[in-house]
Amino acid sequence: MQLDRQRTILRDELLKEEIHGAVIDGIKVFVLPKKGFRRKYAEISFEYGSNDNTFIPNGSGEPVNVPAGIAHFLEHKMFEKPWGEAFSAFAGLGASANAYTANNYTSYLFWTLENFPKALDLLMEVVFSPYFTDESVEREKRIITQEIRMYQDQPGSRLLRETLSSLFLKHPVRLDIAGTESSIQQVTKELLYLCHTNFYCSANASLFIAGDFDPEQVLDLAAGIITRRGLKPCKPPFRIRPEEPHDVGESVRLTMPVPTPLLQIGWKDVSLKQGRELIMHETSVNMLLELMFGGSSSFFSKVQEEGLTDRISFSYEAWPDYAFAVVGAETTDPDRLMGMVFDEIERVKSTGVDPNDFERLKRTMLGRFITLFDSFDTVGQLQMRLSDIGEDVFSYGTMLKELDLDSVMAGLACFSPERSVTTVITGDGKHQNGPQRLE
Amino acid sequence: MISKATEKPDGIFNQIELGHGIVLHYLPETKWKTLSIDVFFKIPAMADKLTALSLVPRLATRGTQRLPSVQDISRFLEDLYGAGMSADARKVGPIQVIRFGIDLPSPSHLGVDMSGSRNSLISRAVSFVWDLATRPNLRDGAYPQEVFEVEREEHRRAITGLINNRPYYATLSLLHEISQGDPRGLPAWGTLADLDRVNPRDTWDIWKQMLAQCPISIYVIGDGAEEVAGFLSGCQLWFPCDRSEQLLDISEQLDPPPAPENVLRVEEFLPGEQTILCMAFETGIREGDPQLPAMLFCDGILGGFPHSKLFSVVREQHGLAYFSDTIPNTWRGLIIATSGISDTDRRDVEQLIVSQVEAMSKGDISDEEMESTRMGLVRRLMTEDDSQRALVMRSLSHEILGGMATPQTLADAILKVTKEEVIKVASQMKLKAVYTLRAKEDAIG
Repeated sequence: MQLDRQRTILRDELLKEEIHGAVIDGIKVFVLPKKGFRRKYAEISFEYGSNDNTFIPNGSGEPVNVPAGIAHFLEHKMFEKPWGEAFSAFAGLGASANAYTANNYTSYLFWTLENFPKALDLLMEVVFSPYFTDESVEREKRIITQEIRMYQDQPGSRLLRETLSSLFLKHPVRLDIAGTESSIQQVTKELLYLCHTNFYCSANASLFIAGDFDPEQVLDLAAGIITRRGLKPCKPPFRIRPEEPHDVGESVRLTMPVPTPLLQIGWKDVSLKQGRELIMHETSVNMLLELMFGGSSSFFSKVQEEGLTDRISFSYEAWPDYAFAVVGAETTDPDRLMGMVFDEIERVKSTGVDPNDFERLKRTMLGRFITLFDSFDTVGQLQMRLSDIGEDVFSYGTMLKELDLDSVMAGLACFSPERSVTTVITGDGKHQNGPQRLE
Repeated sequence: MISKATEKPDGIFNQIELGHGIVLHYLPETKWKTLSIDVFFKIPAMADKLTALSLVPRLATRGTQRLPSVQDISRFLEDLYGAGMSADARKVGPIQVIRFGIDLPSPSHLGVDMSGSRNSLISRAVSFVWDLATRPNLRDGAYPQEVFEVEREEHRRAITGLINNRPYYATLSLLHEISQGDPRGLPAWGTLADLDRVNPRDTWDIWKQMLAQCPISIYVIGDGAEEVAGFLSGCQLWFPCDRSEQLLDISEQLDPPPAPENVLRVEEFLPGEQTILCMAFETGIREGDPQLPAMLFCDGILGGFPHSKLFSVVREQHGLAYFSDTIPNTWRGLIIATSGISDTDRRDVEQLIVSQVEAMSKGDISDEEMESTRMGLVRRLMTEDDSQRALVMRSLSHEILGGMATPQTLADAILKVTKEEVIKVASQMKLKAVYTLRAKEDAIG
């Protein structure tokens, strides 16, 4: 999807969906009209996440290192304004706001029944008008410390964190998105301003709007609000990523008060791709994982009948600078399941998969693609990510139809035992006494 | 297409009585791309049967007579364009509800046969859901022993695994303590003690008995609902036993277990980084009570939103928590506050939360808080119209517990609530239980 000030309309006749787009003062704007829905939704996303810890600021030749977790810290602090708390201001308009930080992007969103223009204006103020004080930064450190501890107590979250830390030796994806209790102590308001100035620029932003709107009127509204902010033309800073070796770290075993052990196996994929090829590859490998470990696989039937687990989770994630796959489960016997997973991959490498299984899975992917449009946020996130590589949600649907078994089987190259790690969490036996009533 | 008369007694769903105690609720609506079909079996709380019945959904998804294995079922669902199957046991008030459902892409977007004719997507989906409920894969009139044993252990792990989500576990434990052994307060998944006692034959017999006796609600919502209703109206629903003339009465004993007289204080040690503080305030206002809108208002001002007092005071002002919020339990008439905090701050946070309730009861509620909460509640209710799941669950809850049938009726009532009414509810709030899931190992007490 090539966007410019000229407005673009994309349609899918069978889906009966369309997306209207334009670039307004550097910001890519998309509108998905959803007739009959009450909710009006907007999300602005910046291509800036927890991986962006080293960069050369605009106008400078010197790289800077910022503390791990600062993108997430910045996301928290953007809701504070000289006039008060932006959450309350959204509430005053009848809107509910939220935000989240990922490895590669940060998003701010709201949904509302009424006052959409004012809420959209407020969203722009939230992201483009920073206001930090020493005191509020110090207070936020205490709040984020509690958030970090909350995730530390979640076995699933801990499992992925440990796997990524072992899998990647240098790349910042190995670090917790929220940082650590000690790294966030180094955050200052000056560093927050530095990150904001460099990354929260229009060329780095996408805005997605969905609801029962006249799309052209909403584009006019967005254009008016964005233009009034007088954003200066800008470009994102130069990001520096360490060169990631092909090797992986050690596998990890740790204890937590879990009643059933947890297993996760991670593979580092070193054949990195770009653009459309990356998306096709990511989709292919996810299909391959489903063929090997999904509910209709012989493998799943076997482990379920043995009572090893009743749910296997799996995913493959690819970005231009790193990629990995994970397979995991809560299981009574992590060592046995681990061996079976590796054996299954070798079996599929030597015997392939049944083409009928592949065709059925393609039908499944097509069905999931259709129902995706019931979720504003999922469509929005997909559209914003795809637009960065010149694609869109509808061309993604076409990509799904183009997938063939050969490209899916080519994904097996990601699963090299030499580039894998395992994380096992077992119980520590410390949750035994149950509740005690106090007098 | 639909032969029998339909009506909308007080909700947004059309209704048809398909048979004795079997009511179809359907809502054709093209804005969604998912067609959702759910069958709910409604059973009064019976402590001796609860655990066995909670296993039924698990066992059903292990195979039906036509699709006898998990792999057969999964392949069937993939053929239906990746339809999603669901089966679970839940509670609506004291009533145990066993659900079997399927979500599939609306046939109109697939360019396939939309009719309810044999072999169409719709007829295959409906028949499958009904098979899940009534035609499980059996051996000699019982669930296969080896399948039963695996599912018994998976169920055990699911129950013990609840501690992996600490705030949720803390809330469940709080409710468990408040219920003080009353069967109406038992969780939908039963108890570990009963799990050891159930067996494959009795479990199937109990379920068959329920199939004969319990009231059934079928909900169909989305693009294609009319066709599903037409298909269901024209077919005879099969049961493995005769439907009883005398159905189970689910309108009796709907009251919750009485809350404890004095404040109940319970601590549990679960090593970790963060202590969870969970507090139950009784309001005495339940589903169907004219004060319910004011009770929801009270919850909203105290902790239901990011503009609420707990977020502003406990998190933003004092920096003591990442989350500190409340949820209403309208069956029990409770407002439950949950906070993730440092263990050493637990008494301070408890005091802070109590002081916010006291402040509200003395009238410390600004006009801004009132209006933000009003808009927040209306938004929350009216956007239920966008969610198939929310609409179905509200209607099912209305069937069982009464109260307001649609988001619109409740939203209309929210618009009329005054500050004085909210203050009155706040002054009725009594702290009944404090449950602390402590992360740090020192002397509990």
